Amino acid sequence: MAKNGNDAEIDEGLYSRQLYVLGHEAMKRMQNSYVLISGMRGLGVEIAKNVILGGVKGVTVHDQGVAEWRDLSSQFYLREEDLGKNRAEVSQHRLAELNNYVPVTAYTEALTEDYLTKFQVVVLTNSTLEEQQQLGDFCHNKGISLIVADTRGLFGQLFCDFGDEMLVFDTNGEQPLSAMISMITKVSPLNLKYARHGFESGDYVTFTEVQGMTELNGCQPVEIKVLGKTICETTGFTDYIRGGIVSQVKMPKKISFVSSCLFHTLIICILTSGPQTTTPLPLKRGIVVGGGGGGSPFFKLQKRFPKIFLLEQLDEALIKKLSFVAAGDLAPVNAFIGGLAAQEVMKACTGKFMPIMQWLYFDALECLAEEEGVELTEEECAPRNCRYDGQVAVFGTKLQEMLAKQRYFLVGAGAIGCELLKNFAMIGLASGDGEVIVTDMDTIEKSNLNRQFLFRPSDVTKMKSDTAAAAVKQMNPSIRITGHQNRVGPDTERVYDDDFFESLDGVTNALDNVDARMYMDRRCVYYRKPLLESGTLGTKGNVQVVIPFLTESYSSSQDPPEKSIPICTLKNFPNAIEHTLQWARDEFEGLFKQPPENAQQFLSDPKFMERTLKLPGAQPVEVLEAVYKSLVTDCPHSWADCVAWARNHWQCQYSNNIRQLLHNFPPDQVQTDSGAPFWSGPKRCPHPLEFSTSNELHMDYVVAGANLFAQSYGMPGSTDRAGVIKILQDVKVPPFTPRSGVKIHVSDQELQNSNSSVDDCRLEELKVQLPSPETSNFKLNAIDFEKDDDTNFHMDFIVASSNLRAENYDIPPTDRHKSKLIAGKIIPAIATTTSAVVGLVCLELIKIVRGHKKLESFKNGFMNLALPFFAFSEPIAAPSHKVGRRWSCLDVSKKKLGKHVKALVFELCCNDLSDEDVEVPYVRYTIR
Amino acid sequence: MSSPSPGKRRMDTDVVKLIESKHEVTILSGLNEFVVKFFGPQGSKCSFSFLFCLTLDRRFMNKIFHPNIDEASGTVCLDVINQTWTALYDLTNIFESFLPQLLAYPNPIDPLNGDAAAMYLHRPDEYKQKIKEYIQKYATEEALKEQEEGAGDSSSESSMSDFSEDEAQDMEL
Repeated sequence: MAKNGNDAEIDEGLYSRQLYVLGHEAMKRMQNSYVLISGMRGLGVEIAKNVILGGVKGVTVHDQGVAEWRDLSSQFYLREEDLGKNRAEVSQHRLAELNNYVPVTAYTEALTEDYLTKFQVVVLTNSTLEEQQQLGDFCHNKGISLIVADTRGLFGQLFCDFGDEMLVFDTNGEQPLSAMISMITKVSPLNLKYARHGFESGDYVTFTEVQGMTELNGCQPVEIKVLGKTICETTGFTDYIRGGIVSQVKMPKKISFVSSCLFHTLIICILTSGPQTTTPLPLKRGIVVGGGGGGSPFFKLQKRFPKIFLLEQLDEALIKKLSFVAAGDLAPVNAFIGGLAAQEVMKACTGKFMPIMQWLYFDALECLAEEEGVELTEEECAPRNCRYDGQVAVFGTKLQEMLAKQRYFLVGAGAIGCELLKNFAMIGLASGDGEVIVTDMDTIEKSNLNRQFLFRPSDVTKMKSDTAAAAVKQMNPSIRITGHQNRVGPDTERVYDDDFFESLDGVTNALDNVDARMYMDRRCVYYRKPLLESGTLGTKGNVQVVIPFLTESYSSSQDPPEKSIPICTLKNFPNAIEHTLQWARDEFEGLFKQPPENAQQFLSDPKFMERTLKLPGAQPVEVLEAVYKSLVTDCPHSWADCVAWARNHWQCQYSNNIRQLLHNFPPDQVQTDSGAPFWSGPKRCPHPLEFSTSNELHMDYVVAGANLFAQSYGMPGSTDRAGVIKILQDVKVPPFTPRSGVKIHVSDQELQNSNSSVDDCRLEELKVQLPSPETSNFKLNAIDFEKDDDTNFHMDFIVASSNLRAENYDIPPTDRHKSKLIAGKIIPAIATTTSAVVGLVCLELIKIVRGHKKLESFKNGFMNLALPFFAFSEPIAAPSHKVGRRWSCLDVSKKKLGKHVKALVFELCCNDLSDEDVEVPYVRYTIR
Repeated sequence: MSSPSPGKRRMDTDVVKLIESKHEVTILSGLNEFVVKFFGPQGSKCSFSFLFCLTLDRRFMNKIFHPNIDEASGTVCLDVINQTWTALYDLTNIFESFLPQLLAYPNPIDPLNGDAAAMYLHRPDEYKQKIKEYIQKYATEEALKEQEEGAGDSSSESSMSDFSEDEAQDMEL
């Protein structure tokens, strides 16, 4: 087994997506922490799962109790045959499979103070109040971080104590901001003037590249106050000329915690999913009592009541609700609190992100009956020695029957999909006549294993949907689940047709892109099916519930479009590494994807020529020129040819093109109107590079470029650098003279003659010169960019070509890890957020299955575990319109319809009398 | 085509409006991709065709020598062109003001075509001559017609795209 430790390398392949959330520093600190998790019921196992996936040095799971029926409603690593066995021992080996780097041990003795000293972080779940107080004091004094987590039915709580003095290195997980400076006035106090910089008071900044007032460059971080207050004294400084970049510096923040023995007098962080009422305060008390009584029924609660609630007014009704549900144990609540608690463990180990200070409360009472006074009988909630006892205790048997009958469509079996399936299995969704259909067209990759916890290393390359389905069947054999490998979209509407959708009770999205989300939203609106939508981005997550006729749909609200980089910035004026990386990606497509693709089409598709000639404008010539270049001019015959090609392309991109640009716009060029230098502001003046075989980066480029070029012709490559250097000595690089202009026709006559004929001539020429497809016997391969394979030269090429261009423009280079994030458009992800988000999704699912009808019963959720921030809001109501119904005539196309089409949809464009657009719904015309 | 979306409908409305206006619009696939023929700045007597595609493939079909337009691909460096369509702007504006304005008043300070910008700044007479040449060659009615005919000649069989027959008949709206 691989071990974590001081000098252990981080397995970037496995931890890739999480590293983009936590960073290498925090990961290293985490790899040096031992964590104890006490209580291996549903909540404990959820926390352990997330912490183990995260990659700490070691985890010990502790429990003295044995598996009971009521544990099975949320403890996904206990099976029916495990009843009566120690919970920690049974869970240990299943948890250990989650991550080869994290040794997991089981401990079944009583927790002693001495035993706790082995750990950096201790998590108590399912513990008594006395235990919490006693061990809490001990941990606080010994500098051991303590987290107390508990759930009781629909209630959950979390308490953190990370000691008297803790350094938080990053309080929000955001990228440090930076901005370009347009002006610095020389006054005391110093005033920075720039538009929309995004800085806030209290941020620390430093400066680079300031011309003139150079004293600012590289200065100690200074605190800023937005709106022109003192930043630092500048009167003695040199006059500001121009330029400069101001960058945020993250400063460590010192925080301090109060020991847990004081916790019942503290109210610091309060969370409730309910409306903003006064519930949190008595709720906290309720939980404390519940904790003390250990899943107490009402009378037990009553007995303890006076001991703890001395001062506050109590909400009798709430305490009653708590007492009713407290005996229950719900997988979704455990998933939510478990996700949060695991993130707190990581914060305690690493100082990355702001901890919960110090209490957090949660309830999901809207899951109970909507009508006041509807109470379940004791009979309905009584345990009956089945795996759903913990859930029946809260909702009764009727809901259990309803859940068993559900037909749900789960779109995606990635991180969110895996977590959803686990919850589905625990709550008993489709455990009777129902069915869960899960579709995902992807196969499992190594980087998935860090959070898609249903998959093991041996599953890599298998289909996600099938593997996930098989894994959750282990958790609950009665769940009926079918795996598909379809991408949802117009192409699969023959599979997911009217009959399919009409048979569904609802849809849960577990997607990774907006287009597919919008598509599923449209389908659900059309078939009037509830849709549960969720997503995560690093520590941020959101949940949206869409109920037909009640809430607005997913597509009703849209995020602003992503800012794209202007083409001229990419082509001529990069000023940030994002620009050079995008440029490098475009290079990749333009060198190794499109040309071989076109050339191969020319060779294998007899209609290619015909199609190309019909393209408008100068395109036919351009396409055929490119094919000619691929097949004749550039076509390599040996490895040496590939090296020569890469070397010459290097010359063109990093020397010749830059020299041409500087020829057109010399460094000292001045703008005619304003007198300002042409190369100023966001336009950084480039310089050409000189090739050298002793420069690692230059060689990286040539080796990666030559190998990819060889690959595209199906030729073998080489990584022998000495050999490449030898070849390079004989490569002839043509000298370059900048073009000083394009040919100008002097007279109109000359112009007339040149008209269109030039292109036509070249076209005819090309048609003759191109090799005949029949006689060519070689095959070209278009290379599809794949960021996660470290041996395929793709990222090597991207990193080298981006950093070379960055050097042209004096932009600081970026390492491979960060380059991969930006060029690969990777979405940072961590198991904790997914777990928490999916917990909330499943609470909404329960409301839908129960048939909740009121808007205020449903909750959209937003969270950022790094801050930490949680917000719940009522969904926005569906809009309703009144439209007259009178139209005259419809023009229908003669297009043939597939057999699966049972209805036609007519889009209507309407104007009112003043010619303004009127939004009207579509008209559905059922034809069979 | 069973599940319409509101955003798509707004876009469709815009396209219909564009078709109803004086522009010549050729639909390529659904209402997602179309070519608009529009006239150059007032008094220039030239016309351009512009490919507008929802998937952000948006470019001039004519070859153009202009500081802000890429000569080879016809892509334009203008923010309103290269963003996802939103209800914030009207499609007709693009063809009636944004693009003609850009053609008449290049911005050589942030050039895409460096050669064109340098010539525009330093050798304005040459630049004028050059664009005159390009217009005559690629942007007159005759040049456009010639292109269309040229395309028509090469084959009578339709294989260029996957239009169904009836769609192809209705292509010129």
